[in-house]
Amino acid sequence: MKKKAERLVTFKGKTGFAVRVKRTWSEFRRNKIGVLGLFISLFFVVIAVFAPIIAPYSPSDIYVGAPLSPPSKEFPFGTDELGRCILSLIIYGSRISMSVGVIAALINISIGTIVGLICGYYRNILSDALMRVTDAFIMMPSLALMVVLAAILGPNIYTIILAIGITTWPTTARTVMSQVLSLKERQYVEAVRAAGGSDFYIIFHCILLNVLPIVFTNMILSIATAVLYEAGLSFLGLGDPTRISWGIILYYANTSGAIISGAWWYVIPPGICIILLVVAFTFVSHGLDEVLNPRLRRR
Amino acid sequence: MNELVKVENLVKWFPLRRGLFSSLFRREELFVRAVDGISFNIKEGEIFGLAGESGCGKTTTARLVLRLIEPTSGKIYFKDIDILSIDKKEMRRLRKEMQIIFQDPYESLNPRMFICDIIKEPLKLQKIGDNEEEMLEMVYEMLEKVGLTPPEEFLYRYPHELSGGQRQRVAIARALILRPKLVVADEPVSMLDVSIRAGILDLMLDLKEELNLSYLYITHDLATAKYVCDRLAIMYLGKIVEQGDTLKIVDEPMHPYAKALIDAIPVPNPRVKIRKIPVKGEVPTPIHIPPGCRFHPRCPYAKDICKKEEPPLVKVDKNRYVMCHLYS
Amino acid sequence: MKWRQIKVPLLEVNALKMYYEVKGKRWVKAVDNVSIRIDRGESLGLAGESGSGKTSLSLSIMRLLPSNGKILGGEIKFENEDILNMNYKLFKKKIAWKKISLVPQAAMSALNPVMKVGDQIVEAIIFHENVSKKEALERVKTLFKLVGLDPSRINDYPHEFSGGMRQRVMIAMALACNPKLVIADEPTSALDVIVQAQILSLIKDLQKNLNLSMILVTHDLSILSEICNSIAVMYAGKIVEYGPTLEVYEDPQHPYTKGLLAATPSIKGTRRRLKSIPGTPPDLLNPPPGCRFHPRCPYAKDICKKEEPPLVKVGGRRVVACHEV
Repeated sequence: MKKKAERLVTFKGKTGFAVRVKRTWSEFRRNKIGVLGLFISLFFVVIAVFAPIIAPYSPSDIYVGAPLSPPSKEFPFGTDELGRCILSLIIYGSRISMSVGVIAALINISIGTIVGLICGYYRNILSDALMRVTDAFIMMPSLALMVVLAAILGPNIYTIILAIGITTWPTTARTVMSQVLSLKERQYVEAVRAAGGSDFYIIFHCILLNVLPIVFTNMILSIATAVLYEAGLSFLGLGDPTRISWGIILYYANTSGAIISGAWWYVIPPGICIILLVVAFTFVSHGLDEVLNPRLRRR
Repeated sequence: MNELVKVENLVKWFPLRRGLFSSLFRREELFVRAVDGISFNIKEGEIFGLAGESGCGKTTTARLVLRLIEPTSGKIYFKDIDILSIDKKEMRRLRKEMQIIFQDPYESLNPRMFICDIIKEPLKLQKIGDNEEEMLEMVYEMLEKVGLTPPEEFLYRYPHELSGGQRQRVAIARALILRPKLVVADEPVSMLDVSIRAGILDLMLDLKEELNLSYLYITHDLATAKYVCDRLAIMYLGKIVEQGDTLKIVDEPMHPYAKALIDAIPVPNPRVKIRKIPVKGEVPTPIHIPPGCRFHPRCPYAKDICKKEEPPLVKVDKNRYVMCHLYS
Repeated sequence: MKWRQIKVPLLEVNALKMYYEVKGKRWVKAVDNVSIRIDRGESLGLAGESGSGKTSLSLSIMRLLPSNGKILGGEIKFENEDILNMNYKLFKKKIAWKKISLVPQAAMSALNPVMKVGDQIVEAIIFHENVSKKEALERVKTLFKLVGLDPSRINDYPHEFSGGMRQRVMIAMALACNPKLVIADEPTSALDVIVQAQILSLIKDLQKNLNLSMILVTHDLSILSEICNSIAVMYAGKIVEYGPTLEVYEDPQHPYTKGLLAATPSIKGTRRRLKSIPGTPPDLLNPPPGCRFHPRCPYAKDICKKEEPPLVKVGGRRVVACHEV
């Protein structure tokens, strides 16, 4: 008996979560688009993390160059109206853009998943009411709602995150709910019930486990959309002016008249970064989708 | 306590969902009368078969016996306990004595869990086993018992990496790890290849001896039922029309439906061909059940009384019951 | 049973190789060097379990393969005419449904749910023959009577029929253009027992009255013995045994056939111990070398692991592919 147990414990070394991750990775590796997206995203993440080290200047270094000068050897992306190095701005800006994206996506996913799980599993008055609230939110145009929220709550990085998170969770909830509705009729759920599983266990173990792949891919995608929303809100002037994000850069590019005066280096680089990041995350989520949600996994 | 399970007058009617308009205009509510008053018992150590075509109510009965769905009326006794009167918590504890094996080996295992976790799950739910090692050992032992050897090969695989027969063995391991007294097997081999079926059935029979189990075996395939079941009950439209020793029923069925059912089964012998079945038509829907004897519209022996009165359950022999006017 | 005289067989499949292409330029060897022949009035049973290649074979004959199914060798001849390399449009017009028709697997879901059943059959008739819609409808009514359906129901939709009745509609559709050969793929697998017996009886009657030739594809040996006068047992894409039904059932030669018969329960007769075949069917991406059945065969010898056994005649019209024989 002891020997068997020992054998199994050492086996545990490569078990559970680690095995799952390893397998997902080896399949993901084959998806070229997903891997490309992953590289680009990681590139931006590295930039964001090591910004102070990578960037030649800091955002507070004003008038290090002639204002609104075109790209040159010293300033690869030129300078803004305050003479700051735009390349450095973009590097520092990645931090806010990405963190807002990630945190807003986290809020989105957490609320959305829990609401979706409960509404999908229980069919009583409470869950129906919750579902109607969700539907109401979905019907409202999200950008308009965000604008209103941000305007009311004031231009602050936390309000941006909140605004994005609150307006995007209903869609996630809907997606999760429809998954749960079909999952709860599955035979393996019935098997758990027959073995004495409580509702709580069924929802948060069996069903959640099967909903996680969709939730995970959704989360990656919602980071992309959150980055986009942040850029939009900041461009409209609702962002936090004390910080730098790509959207804020575009805002200043607009208000300082750079666009009219033809300073394309002020507008195009941040725009391209936004597009690249969004596309990269979308690619990753596509690749993950193929791995985690295989279409024909039978026989 | 010789009777492990006792079912009395079990009824399950499912209300038909109605849209807004039909509930305004139509008066009476319609029901799907899946199980319409059946009684039987399962003795300790026996394999009791419940056979019939689709729509006869056998799958619903299986779920009722385990109280996975609530009956409309009737009584269910397990080990002399009225399982309909106990509370949820006690029912959950009782569940470790009654388990189920499903028909579809591809649907009954959680696709995102490892095999060892699937088999370990019931232990965790019923709080058996003090630590991970102990539980893993029990899983290991169970894998060996169901013939999935060497167990290390299967512990950390996903269900989709195994064949249908192997998955069904996992389902059996999961059902038996709690050492239940009753196992409900809902068509456990109908979705497997023919050459694999015998192996699974033999496994079930061997384990029954080893672990002293009783089975409620649901099937539409009477040939397999003959191989496996000690006693058999044939269902039609929610009622048991004939009940008794398997071999006696299969060799000499008494109820006209049972007779037609058995005569209709082809035999793997080219010299023996199916005789023409005198039964016409197909099984009606359980929503509109014919009056009197529910089989009368298709029965070649139907008399006047069959159209008006439901036949009583007649005891024609020790252990043998038939529900037909021909014998009352 | 009169066997082949110097007659042209109705359908002849010679050394057919059909593989499915999967990701990474790999091939699933679904049908590997298969030869069969059907004479006029013969009903051949194709027996085998999942993965044996029987459905793939029938799809190949009807040229209804999915896009990744490629024919890599062999020929198919109908009445001595090469139908494999025939222009596809010509095949659809002249052969498919007119000479050979198919009752596909899960036929009951093969009906268009938004069209009346009569119209669906009329569509098929008009495509293949030059008749007016009125004539076609009359023929449909006759067909309905032939398969035991009420002719007035030609204007009903598929969901208004039960499973057994839909199967009859599919059979009517298969017979619409008076084909000489009908391929039926698991015609009764989703049906209840009594309905199954009714359909089998219908098939037997139709065969007799219309002198139909048939290929019945199924895994159920009991059904095969009801209807077919010869049987071909397939395993892992190959034919392992072939011959008159009676002979094969009473004296099976190939170990797989023996195993399959021993594993099939019978409602009549004494309760005997069923025997299953250990192991699982092979992965057709990498089938085992030599005889594909050798990993599961109780009689496997050394040669079985290296050399593929050829189909050998064992008297009369029987062939077996086994080194034991």
